[in-house]
Amino acid sequence: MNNKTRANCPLTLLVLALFILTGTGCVSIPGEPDPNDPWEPFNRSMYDFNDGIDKDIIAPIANAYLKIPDGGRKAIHNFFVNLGTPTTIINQFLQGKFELGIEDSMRFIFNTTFGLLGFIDFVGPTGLVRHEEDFGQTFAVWGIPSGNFLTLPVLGPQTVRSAVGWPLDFVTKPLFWIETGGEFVFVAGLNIVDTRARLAPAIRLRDETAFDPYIFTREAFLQQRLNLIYDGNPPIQDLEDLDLLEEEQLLEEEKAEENSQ
Amino acid sequence: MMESGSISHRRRTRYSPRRVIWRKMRFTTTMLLQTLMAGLLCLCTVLPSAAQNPDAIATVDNLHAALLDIMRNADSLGFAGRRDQIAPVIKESLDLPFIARFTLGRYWKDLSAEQQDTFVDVFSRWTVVHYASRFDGYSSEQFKTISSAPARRGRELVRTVLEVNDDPADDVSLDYLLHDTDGKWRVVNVIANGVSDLSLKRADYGALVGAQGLDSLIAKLEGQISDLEVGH
Repeated sequence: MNNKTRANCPLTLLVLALFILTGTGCVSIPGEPDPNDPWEPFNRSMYDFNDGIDKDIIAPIANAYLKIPDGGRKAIHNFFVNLGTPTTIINQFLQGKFELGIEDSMRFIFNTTFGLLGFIDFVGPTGLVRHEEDFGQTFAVWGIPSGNFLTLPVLGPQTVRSAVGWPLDFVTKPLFWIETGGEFVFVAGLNIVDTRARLAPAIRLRDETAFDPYIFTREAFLQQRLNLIYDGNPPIQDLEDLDLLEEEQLLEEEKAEENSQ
Repeated sequence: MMESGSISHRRRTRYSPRRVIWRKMRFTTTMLLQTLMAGLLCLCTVLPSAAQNPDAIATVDNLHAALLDIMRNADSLGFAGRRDQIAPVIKESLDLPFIARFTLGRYWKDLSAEQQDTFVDVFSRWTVVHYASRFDGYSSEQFKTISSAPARRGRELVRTVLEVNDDPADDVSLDYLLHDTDGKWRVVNVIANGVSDLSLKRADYGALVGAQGLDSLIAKLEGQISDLEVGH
């Protein structure tokens, strides 16, 4: 097993990122700092760094990758979804979702065998919905607070909680245990390109509508994480937009004050 | 799952030989639990639910029907045709003045009445052209209405799903928050896969207005409208 390749790949990027950031210094921040994002200066630096990598390297490859016919891309995506299933299963059991854990264990076994290493979603036509769990979600279910929003080099938007869970997610994926460095780099690279290609419509939407892409990404990420923690079915209260309700409350109080004067 | 305009708690069901094989091989406990759940869900679809709000659902279904129409006829309508066709539906279905006001958050009350009117007008035009731009083709997408439930302050949350292809994993959940304005239910927020459109805009617009003022936001919105108009 080539542990050196495995361990050094993200580490090299991290060191490179820190080196570059030390050299480039501060990044201008529009407007007032957000009290809910105390690490905003650091996060924006990381965001810019990641955006540069995306624009210069990943996006062009992903655009070329999108020229592969749908069926081919679908098979590759199925493979990576299947590869991530053990992480999901472990976390389902850790969260007490035993029925789903059994269901996804069966899915993994059938897709890996009859589905030819997962390239074919053999179980998909049964109508069973895929699930997505990770250690960050498990920590949330256990009641551990999310911590501040954090943008990491290459990994992108995180919370402290999800960032702590990421190494555990990584080592529970079969990809981590692939023996040779060359295979690891190829499969990991393809995984990144597949993810980027799947995100292309959302990134296009962000680029077309957002005036501050960092804020858009941060808000969308935090809300989507909450959605994942609730398995896509958050309580109605969380969908009602608490900020909106609070603001309406303030308006009503202001009006009441004016009327009383 | 029923067609758009009807209510169902059930997910889409598909039949194939592999499904039969799969079901035979599943653990007994899983099957029992799923049978129980399926029974309960079927019961839910049979029993009338007092919580459903047909008027709120009708608003969302009408919007979806209009969107599907411009999607299906995207090429023949062209951008201008889609914009002109969807504009009255958007203005009828969405409470644009309310949404515009809350996208600006605490900055709204600092504006003059004239500035507020200007912003509502620009924001409304921006919303229409973005719908016309985004819904620019059709490849068998379907909107399915799942349920509606009361929310706080007399609002209603209508939960729907956009099926983009045959894979349920790719479905996009679209939840609409509506309120009653003079007897008409209108949308005040759209939540896609848990991400609130209103919340995103408030954060984005608030930062820009706080740093550069309302005029800058209006200029940027006008710029995006022009880009989309010219780009099509």
